[in-house]
Amino acid sequence: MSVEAPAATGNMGEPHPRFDARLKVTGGARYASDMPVDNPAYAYLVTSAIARGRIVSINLGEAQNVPGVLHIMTHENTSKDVKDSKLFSDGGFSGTSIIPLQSDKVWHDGQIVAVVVAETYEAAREAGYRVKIEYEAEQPSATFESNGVQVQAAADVKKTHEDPKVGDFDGAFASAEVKVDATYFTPTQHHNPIELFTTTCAWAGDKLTVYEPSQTMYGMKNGIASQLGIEPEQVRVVSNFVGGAFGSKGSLTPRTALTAIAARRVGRPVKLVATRQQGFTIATYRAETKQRVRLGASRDGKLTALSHEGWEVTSRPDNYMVAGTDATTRMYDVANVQSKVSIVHADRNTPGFMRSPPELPYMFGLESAIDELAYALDIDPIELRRKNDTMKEPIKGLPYTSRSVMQCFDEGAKSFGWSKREPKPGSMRDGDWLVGLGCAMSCYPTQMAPSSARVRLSQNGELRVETASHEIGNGAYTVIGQIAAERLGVPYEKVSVVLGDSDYPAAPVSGGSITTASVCNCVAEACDAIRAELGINDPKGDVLAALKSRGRGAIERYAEWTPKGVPDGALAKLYSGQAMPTGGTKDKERIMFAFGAEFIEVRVHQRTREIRVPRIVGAFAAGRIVNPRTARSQLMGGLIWGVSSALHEATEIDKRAARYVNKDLAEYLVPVNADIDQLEVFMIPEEDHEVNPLGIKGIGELGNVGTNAAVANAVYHATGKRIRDLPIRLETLLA
Amino acid sequence: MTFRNALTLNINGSEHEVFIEPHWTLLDVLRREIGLTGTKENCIEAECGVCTVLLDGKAVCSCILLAMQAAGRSITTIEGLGTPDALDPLQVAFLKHGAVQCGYCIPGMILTAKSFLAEHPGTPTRHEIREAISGTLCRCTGYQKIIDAIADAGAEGAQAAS
Amino acid sequence: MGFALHEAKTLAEATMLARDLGPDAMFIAGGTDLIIQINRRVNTPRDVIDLSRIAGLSGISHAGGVFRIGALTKHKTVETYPAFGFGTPYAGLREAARVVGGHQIRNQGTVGGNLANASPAADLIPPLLALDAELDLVGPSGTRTLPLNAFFLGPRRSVRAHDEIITEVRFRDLPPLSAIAFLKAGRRKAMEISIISVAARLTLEADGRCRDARIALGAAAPTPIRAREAEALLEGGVPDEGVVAMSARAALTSVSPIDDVRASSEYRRLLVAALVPRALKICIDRIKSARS
Repeated sequence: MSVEAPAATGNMGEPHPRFDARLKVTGGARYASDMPVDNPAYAYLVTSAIARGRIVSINLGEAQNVPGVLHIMTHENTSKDVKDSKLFSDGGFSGTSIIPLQSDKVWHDGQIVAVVVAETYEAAREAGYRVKIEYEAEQPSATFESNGVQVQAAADVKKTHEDPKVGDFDGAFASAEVKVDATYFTPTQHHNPIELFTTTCAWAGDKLTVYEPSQTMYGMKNGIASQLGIEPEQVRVVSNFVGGAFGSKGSLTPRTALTAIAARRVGRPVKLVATRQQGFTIATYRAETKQRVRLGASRDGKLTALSHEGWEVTSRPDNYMVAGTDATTRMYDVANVQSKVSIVHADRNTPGFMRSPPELPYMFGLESAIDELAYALDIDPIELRRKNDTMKEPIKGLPYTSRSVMQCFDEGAKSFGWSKREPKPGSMRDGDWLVGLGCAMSCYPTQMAPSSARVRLSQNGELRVETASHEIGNGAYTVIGQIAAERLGVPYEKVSVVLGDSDYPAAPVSGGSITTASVCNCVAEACDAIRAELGINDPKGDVLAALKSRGRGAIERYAEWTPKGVPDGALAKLYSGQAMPTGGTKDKERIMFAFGAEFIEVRVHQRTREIRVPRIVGAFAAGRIVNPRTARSQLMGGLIWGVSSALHEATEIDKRAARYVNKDLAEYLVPVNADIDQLEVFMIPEEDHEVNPLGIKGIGELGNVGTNAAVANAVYHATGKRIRDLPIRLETLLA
Repeated sequence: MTFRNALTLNINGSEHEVFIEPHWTLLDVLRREIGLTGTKENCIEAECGVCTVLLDGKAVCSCILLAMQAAGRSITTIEGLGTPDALDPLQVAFLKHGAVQCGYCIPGMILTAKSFLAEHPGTPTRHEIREAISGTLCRCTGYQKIIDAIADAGAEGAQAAS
Repeated sequence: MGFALHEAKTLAEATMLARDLGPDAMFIAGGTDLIIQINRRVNTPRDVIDLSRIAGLSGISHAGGVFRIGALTKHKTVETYPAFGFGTPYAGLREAARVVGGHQIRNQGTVGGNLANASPAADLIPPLLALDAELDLVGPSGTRTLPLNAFFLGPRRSVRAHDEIITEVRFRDLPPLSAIAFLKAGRRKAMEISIISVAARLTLEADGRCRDARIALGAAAPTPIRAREAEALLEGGVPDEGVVAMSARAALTSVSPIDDVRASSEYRRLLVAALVPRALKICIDRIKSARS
């Protein structure tokens, strides 16, 4: 089946081709490390060989003798240069509070311990290999159950954290007619965008330009300024194209400041391209979780009790957490709920957000448990969800602004052929293959943050939009241009959008699927201001004609958009680089989520237990879809991410050394083309006038939320074996 | 300064003289010395395919090919495929099918497909296409649309040939 | 710091260079293994001798009942060589060649390099073992020929001296009523280092009895190996389901797989037990369909 572009139905926008596609197919799109700079020197990182302890001595003799070496940074000459590295969740900009080269202390394996700068990359790398470091190592704690980890309740370490709770869980669970009590594990995973972590820094006097793939122009600009102790006005960040990010480029990593310092010291631009292996420890990752889910229900399938407890690994110094119980306690109609999140400090780099941060691990727990309950009750899993569907979240009783989850299940089920499913596990076969059909709910909170943009309409009909948002594969150029074109009645072909430069108006971090809703609402506001200025209030009125008739060459408007319900001061924070989103579960009057239903067919070989996924169907309702073509791409990609997460992706940890083992793309498996067979995405038209003026929810993360559970549920249906520990390994299916 | 060798490379139909160290790869030379940055860098271990170029018309990973081994051969990078007025049919098909997301894998993907279609004139099956481009990773992941685009370009090529 | 690259025009020049430069010199052909090893510091040669421009070492020929595969032959050439195509007794060679890395690697990597690298998981080795292949090694003091199964010593170790070059691997035509099959298991469908690979070759008598059997396994031991007990069980009898199952069990006595990130030793053993009968059955089907 080949579909060039899905047709727009309901309130969807046009499936315009991507604004930036032509540049990308001709090699003309310039990513950060493609940017030409004058006479660059090259940096190479040296990373620690131990996970905990201190550096006793560094011998640079051999390294300095490598021809072409210009400078080597270590804690002995750089300890005071980086001023600050406050975690973004504590109001800073960084993905870690660990500042490398600040002292002799080693916090985790693969921490940056030296930076070599040389005339060529090869010379820098060669010298990097020759930096001789002696360590005094201590026994590190790797993960859950390791000696020496420190467990803390989330509520004890973070003022704003709440563990959602309502009713009397203990009582309701004790008296429930049917119960599920199960513990689930999700693994460490790394984003592994195909584009590496790269930074080029160039100084012109006291002005610094940073070329780095980033999900946050203003966050980087302000963050790097505070780290270097300079003014934000001295920093410009350029990131016109990002070769995949998935959360990994959303907060500041230590490499940027180090590269800037290196460039200042050698008096010329410095370019750093960290290796794939180093990428596993110099940026963030998805931490492993352990979750205990308890469900109680009446014999007829009504949920009466829900408890979700989660444990997440973090680094020694940082209290990072994703805390997905915020969502999982609100998905079903259940009167008695409790939850608790704890963090487990180990000797690891600080984790961070990775595509669908809280929901992905936590919905695996919830949606697996719901499937377990369906079997315990002998009720169809979709019917169980229907029975407990709700238009009001149970914790505070707030209404959903819209919730089309059962429409998604029904449309998806129809296309998937759910009705042909034999309910009994192990009952469907095709030759040597056991066939399993599974499904799960997907959800993602609809969030928005303040945003600013400048729109200019010229007499020749050209429309230009400027904002410091950025293209990470999400189609930002395209949907932003589309909204502007629609709003002013200008052909899409006449629109140009410029993004990815901190010289443009501030836009929030592209995280939490907030970009389209935040930036498009702002651009629409700027367009409306142009209309108002020209006195064209009729949406069909000819704005261009009005501009011409007034004899004006161009009109330009700068808009600042603030979503309803953001905390005080949120707009100012936009300019200082800190997004303060609202929506999701943060609004005091309503709850906002996008939903989906995901269906998976697995085939498990009865002898070798090889697992194949011949069919994936996803149906999603996410408010107004601005561009069904780019939206479908995002959702498909999400589904493949989900299958990958369920079957392939895990960063293995050597527990004695607290070290990642499979730090490359040969060993950290992501799906290849041949792994993916039939994949269908349905977008269910949904109008939501409450989330924001344009009615846009986010879709970047929605696609992969339910997939882990859907795959595990399908594997159970095929084999009768419940897998609660991801990824699903052939070995586990044999046991 | 370390010793460098003069080397002439034929890239996209023009000769380029570069001075290189023997261990430099073709990827390094293309990006750094010649400024052809359409060829991307990533794993440097031939696991991902983003550095793919055509060597005498065949897709190879430039990250593990010594530049000196490419002397005397014809090298095609994404910049040498099609012209602004007349894109290569594969580029056109990638546009038409929306096969592009973040775009980082796309130059390698298109060149891999170019080499594969040259090797398989006629209309390859989707299965064959999947196998053929499995050496080129897309993390976004637009595999489905990439296959649509290559199948379309293949079918058009076959039609044009008949 | 880097290395010096020496372009050899002839075999003699290459071997002499290697002898003179000593054990710090290494040969490069396609570079698919060596460049990665150098980047990772697994190898740090001072000198690298480029063999890729030596004439006469590339291509496959068939004459006098012998197939000769030149050492510089690319995997892609093996994959697309008509006489190894599906429907021929040698289809197992194509099956192995087409799963070596991706499309690009098959355009770059050479057969000689794959053998010289001596990885226990190399895809092409099991089918060549099952074909009783032999290879030529040319050194400064002459040529020696040895059976492929005598070439490997351990993971990435072989009997090849540092100044010897593999020039050719060859095997005799299979007798009538023969076929070879290759199967590989990995966690992904492509771009995968084998967690187990199996090549099986059967030659049957007209009455259906097994005249000759070969079972070769990759990633099942420190080197690619033959499962000789399993072969012996098949020879002389009719390879029915029971015999095939017995043979698969016997194959397990030959293996000593490792535990690693990709798969447990236990799972690898299970794969041997599952894939050996599957490969044998493919051979039988291929012989039958060629006959009809």
